[in-house]
This record gives sequence, C-alpha cells and structure tokens, in this order.
Amino acid sequence: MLSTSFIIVILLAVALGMGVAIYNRLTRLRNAIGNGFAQIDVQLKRRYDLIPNLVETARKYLQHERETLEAVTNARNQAQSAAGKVRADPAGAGHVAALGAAESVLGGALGRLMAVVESYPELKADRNMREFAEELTSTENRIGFARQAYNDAVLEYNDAAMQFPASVIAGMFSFREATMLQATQSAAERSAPQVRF
Amino acid sequence: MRFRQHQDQARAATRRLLLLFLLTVVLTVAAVNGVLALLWKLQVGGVLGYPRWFFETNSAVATVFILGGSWIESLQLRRGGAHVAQMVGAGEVLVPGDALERRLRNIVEEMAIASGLKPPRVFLLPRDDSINAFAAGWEQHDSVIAVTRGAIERLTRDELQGVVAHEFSHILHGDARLNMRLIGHVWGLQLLFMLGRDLFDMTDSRGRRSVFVLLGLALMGVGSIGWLAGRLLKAAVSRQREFLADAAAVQFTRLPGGIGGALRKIAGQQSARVHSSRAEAISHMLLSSDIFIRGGALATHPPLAERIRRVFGRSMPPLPSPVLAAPETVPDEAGIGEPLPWHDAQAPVAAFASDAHGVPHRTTVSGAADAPDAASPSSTLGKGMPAEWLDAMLQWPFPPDLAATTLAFLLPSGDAPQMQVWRDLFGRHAPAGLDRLVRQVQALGPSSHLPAFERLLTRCAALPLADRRRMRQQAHQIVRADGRLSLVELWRCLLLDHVLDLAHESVLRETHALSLSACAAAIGSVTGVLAWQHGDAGADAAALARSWRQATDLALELAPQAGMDDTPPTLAALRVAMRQLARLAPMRRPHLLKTWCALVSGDASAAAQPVWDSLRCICLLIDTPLPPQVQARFHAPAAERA
Repeated sequence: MLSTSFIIVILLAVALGMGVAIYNRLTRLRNAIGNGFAQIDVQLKRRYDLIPNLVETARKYLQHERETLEAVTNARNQAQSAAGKVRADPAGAGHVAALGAAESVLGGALGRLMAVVESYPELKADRNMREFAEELTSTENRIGFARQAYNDAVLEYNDAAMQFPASVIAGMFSFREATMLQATQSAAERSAPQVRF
Repeated sequence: MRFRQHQDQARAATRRLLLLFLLTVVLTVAAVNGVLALLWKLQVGGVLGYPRWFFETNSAVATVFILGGSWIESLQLRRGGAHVAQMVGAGEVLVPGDALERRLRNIVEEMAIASGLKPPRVFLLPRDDSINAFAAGWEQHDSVIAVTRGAIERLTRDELQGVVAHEFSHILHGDARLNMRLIGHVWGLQLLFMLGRDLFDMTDSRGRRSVFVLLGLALMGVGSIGWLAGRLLKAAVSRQREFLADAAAVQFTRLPGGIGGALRKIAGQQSARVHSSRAEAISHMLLSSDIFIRGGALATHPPLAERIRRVFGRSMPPLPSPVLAAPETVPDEAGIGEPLPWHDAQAPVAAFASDAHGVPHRTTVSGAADAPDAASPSSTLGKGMPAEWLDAMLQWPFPPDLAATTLAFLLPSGDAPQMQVWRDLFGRHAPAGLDRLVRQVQALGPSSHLPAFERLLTRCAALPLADRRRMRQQAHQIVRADGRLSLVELWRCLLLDHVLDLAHESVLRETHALSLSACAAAIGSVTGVLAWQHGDAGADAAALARSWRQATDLALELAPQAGMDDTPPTLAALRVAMRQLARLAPMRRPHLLKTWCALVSGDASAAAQPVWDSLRCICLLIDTPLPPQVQARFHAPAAERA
C-alpha cells in the first residue's frame, strides 16, 4: 500500500519533468524567432549592398532619369542608417517603426526604377543589368521568405506559449506573446492604390 | 502543419519499411522456390522427388543474393546524397554558371530561407530535356537537390520555385532518408533480375550473344518476382509522401500556381524519363515517374491528375512546356527551334543539280572539278589523306574544337557563303588553323566523309544539352548562308538531329509501329529521290523513278500509289517521308534497305557516291544495320592511313 506522501512526491516529480520540458520547448521556439529576425536583417543588408552597383550600371544609360536614381540612392542610405540604429538598440523607441517606413520608401523607389528600366531596351539588354535584375528579384524574394519564416516561427511560438498547460509556465517565466511583422506600417499605404492617368 | 510530427511519422514509416522488406524477402524466396520446383517437375517428371537440399540451397542462394545486394548497395549509398546524384550522371552547379544555373541557385537559397534549412548542394542533370527533379541524402546537412536541364529551361521562375520547394519538403520530412534506404532494399530484390538481364545482353566484340543467354533468360524469369516485389515495396512507401510534399510546397511558397503549374507541364510533356542506366534505382525519388506506367499497384507516384486536383482544388488541363527564353538572351535572339528554310524546300531535288555530280562537299587541295571522279568510284576509294591532326580529332574524347570540326563537314567546296559563316562562328581560332582544318576535312575521300562525320557526331552526343542545341543552331546558320537548301545539307542536318537526340521536339509519341503497306507513300517518295539522284536529274530520271517504284512495289508487295507522278520529289516531302519511315516496324527495315540496294547496284550505270551517301543516311536515320553493299562503299578514315 503506497503512502499518500509517496504518491504526492511522484506526482510532483512528474509535474516538474513536464514543466522542464515545456520550458525548454518555449525557449527553443523563442530563439527561433530571434534567428528569423536576424535572417531578415541579413537579406536587407544584401539589398543595401546590391543597390549602389545597380545604380552605377543604370547611370550610364539613364542620363535623363537622374531624379529616379537619386531617389533610390537616398532611400537606400536612409534605410541603411535606420537598420543600423535598430541593430544597435532594438528596444529603442520607434526604431523598428522607422526602419519599416524607410524600407517601404526604398521599395517604392526601386519599383519606379525598374519600371523605367523596362522602357530603355538597351539598358534592359545590357548583361550586367540582366544579372542585377535577377539578383534583385532573388533578393526581394529572399526578404519576403525571411519575413514569412519569421511569421511562421512567431505563430509556432505563440501556439505553444498560449495553450494550456504551457501558458502556466509561460506566465511564470515571462514568455510573452510575440508580434508578427506587418506588411506595411502606414495606414495610407494599406488603402488600395489609386490609379490616375 | 507540424514538421516534427511528420518527421516522427517518417521514422515510423522507416520501421514499417524494414518489416515490409523482410516480409518481401521471405515471400520472394518462397516464390523462387516455387518456380524452380515447378521447373524441376517439368524437366524431370513427377516420379522422382526433389534432390536433397533442393529447397535449402535455393533459399540460401536467393537470400544471400537479396540481403547481400541490399547490404552492398547500402554501403555504397552511405557515401551520401552527392553519390546518388553523381551515380545518375548529375554534375554539381558551382558558381559561376550560366544565367539559368545562377537562377537555380538563387531559388534554392530562397527556399532554404523559407523552410529554415541549410541550403543543400545543387546538382544539374545536363543531358535530360524532360522536367524532373529529386532530392537525396541521409541527413539534412548532407542532402542534395538535383534538377534536370529541361526543368530549368521550360519552367517559369515560380514553377521552378515550386519544384524546389517540393524537394525541400522531402528533405525536411525525412523522406530523403527513407528513400535512400529504399534504394538499398530494392537493389537487393532486383539483383537477380538485373544479373539475368546483363547475361542476356552480353555480347562479344562481334556483336553476337554469349553462350549464357539462356541462363540469363532463366535468371530474368526467376528474378522478375523480385523485381515485382521491389516495385510493390516502392509503391507502398512512396506514394503517400508525394501528396505531402506537394502540400508542403504550396505552404512554403504560398503559391499553388508554382508547383501546380510545374505538375501541369509535366502532364503535358511526352516523357519524364531520365536518361541514365541507373535511373530505375531512383524512380521513386523523382518528381514524376515515367507516365507510361500510370496508376495501378506498381506506380511509384500517385496519378498526376489527382495531384494537380489536390493542389488547385479542382481539375486542370495539362500545359505545354516549350523552352522559355533564357534570362540572358533578349527574346529576339532566341531562335532555338527555328526550322530550316522550307520556302526553298518546295523546289524539286533536280534543281540542285550540282549535288548530282560527284560529291560537292569534297575538293582536292587545288579545288579541281569533281565531275571526272564521279564516273569512276573505284578511283576515289583510298584517296583520303587523314592528317595526324584530324586523326587525333577522331580519337580524342572531347577535343576543344569538336563543334568547329563537325560543322566543317557541312561546308561545300570552294569559297561559298557557308564558309564565311563558319569562319565567323569559330573566329576565335587563328585563321591559319581554320584553313588547315577545312583543307583536312575536304581532303577526306568521298568514301570517308560520312563515316568521319558520324564519328564526330557520336562524340558530340555526349555534350550537355545546351551545347548540342547551340551546335544545331550553328548548323542551321551555316546551311542558310547561301539561301538554298541542298539534298546533301538536308541529309547532314537530319543526321545531326538524330545523333544528337534533338529530334523529339517534333516527334509525336507513337504507340505502335507501321507495316510496309502503311508506309507505302513514304517508300515511294524516298525511292523517287534515290532515282532522281541516281539519274543525275537527266531526261530519263523520271522514267527511272517510275521503273524503280514499280520494282519496289513488286518486291515489297505494296499496292501501287496513286499520287506518284513524274514530277521530281521535293525536300519537304522527303523530310515527311523519313519521319514516317522512322516508325516502320523494325523487322521490316532490313528488307526495305535490301530492296533499295539491289535497285541501286543492279542498275547498268555504276552509282555515284552521293547515292550511296543517301542510302547510308537512310540506314542511320531509321536505325537499321548497313547492308554489305553499302558498307563496302565506305572506309573509316583511320583505315586509309596505310
């Protein structure tokens, strides 16, 4: 006949074991989120490095499109410094928001540049330009997939941390819910684009 | 979708696989015993019993074969995914490659980010034009992805992304590991069958079968049980995983049109075959197996239509899969599939009278006229002068100037526009070297011209698909230079397409062979061409054609064709006729060739070399051995050295 204290000890041991397992799992998932964010950072850096070469190649042909090229260069510099600030101080006020805004400006400027390239057949056929176009497409895809992977990691972590009984452990050790990346920061951009002829 | 869950499932599937394998071995050994016992009974009669240790020996030998084979193959495969890829003939894609390869590497890295895996090594199957891919490897860090050349050329970026995501899912879910183990098991089961087949196919240097052919047949019969068992095992394990991989591809790319479009294009293509002798071993790992074995218990993949339906949510028709313009070519330049100038091909054969006299593609060093030589074929035999350089060209496996030398055989005599085009194409070589090359090629006797050309083409057949396509493009450029198409040029181009295996763009998939009577029109056309060529397009060429056609109809028991008249045949009609003759039943072809040879050699005036050239080309294009009369008219270049 087992004494009650023995049973209680066994139950406590089992609960402790489960708690440890849950804690480890939550830690692993949270680290995956950090990894995902670093991955986005890597791809953004790749984009920043690619753009000056792109602009130089295009400059030879686009003598009359200086404003487009300048817009791209300025946007790129802005975004790069914003990213630097975030890297230095991730928790600082509004840094991440500023990075998001700078990124969207850069995306818009790049889009306009590629549209201009389409209408200059010589530039489009230039070998370096074609390589850059492919690299740029790949980089935009990589950034997109990195954000997707980040959001997937956040989803998995949130699912794990907010379900019972893991939520108990999460509460005890301050595993907070993580936020997903939004597609765009500003409400103005979120509204449907207007087409004006 | 929880990846960990699926990996656990995969591990459970591995255990099930092992049990299934052992069960299959037991059943196979029992079946082998049964077959051998039956044979014994039939041979020896029912009165005597079985010899001592009959069943034990059979079981022991079969078991040793199966398990031993599995073990040896597993040892080989332990070298990892890269070994599997190289076994099937894939080459690694290293930086820098051409634009398509770079795009492939970029896509693989993108998918690595999306799935959270380290990017695997990327391999390319350069000789395969069909759309296919596979992933192999024991662990995630040692995995590889291999894609065919056809896939990177015929799929859009999104579709290629879907295919790569599908393969990534195999790696992530542990399918790759499962499939590697499966290769090992199935190899053991199929070992007896393959041994029998090798014995059956073994031929000595003169092409005759060895004495073991009956033993080989017997082993094939017994081993086919094992082959069947292997197929069933593969089917049982790998089918479900394909649905899972398709779904994961959609999840990674968030784009059903990617993997869906690729599957639709595969459904629309003629064949998914991978051209390798070891392709059967990895058939379960491919994106899509050969579509001829659709459905049924033996299929390693679920039906394509069902896969497409699951991806899109509804049934979708197949898509055509033309070669898309590579990112590095501006669309105007990509004249890859441009045909020969057929506007000129309506002109009759007789108009190209220069081809009827002698061999216009041969010239002595001084450029003398060819006509006197044509009259006496015996004087031209033995006149070839293969210099050491050309000889070396014929013996090296991959000489650097292979394309230049091969296409030099398309050049006519004298200073024709084709020569200029050829020089422009290969202008990176010194002009003196080009001159020497042309002289040596044209110094070959007419009886060595075609054999040398064929030998070089055979070397070129091992080149990657992109290089072969480029050669075809260059050949068409050269031939088009003077704005006319001659009969000899047509034969050469058809030969090039055939040997370099580039003809399947235009060949429909045929399921049955034609009889002689079904090809009567084609036979009539070709007979006419031969007659007109033999008759030098003279006045009595029409009469000759008529009499030859009658003789052919008589010899082959064909009904006389209504449409044949006295006008000279056109090159376009000849091309159509050759395509139809390629479908003739293989057993009928020697008879047809013998009839033509009899006609040509039976004629009073001795036939000129060009007619024999035509006959030889016909033999090669329809894959028939050369009749002795044709063989006698040609000398391999090396033989003329003495």
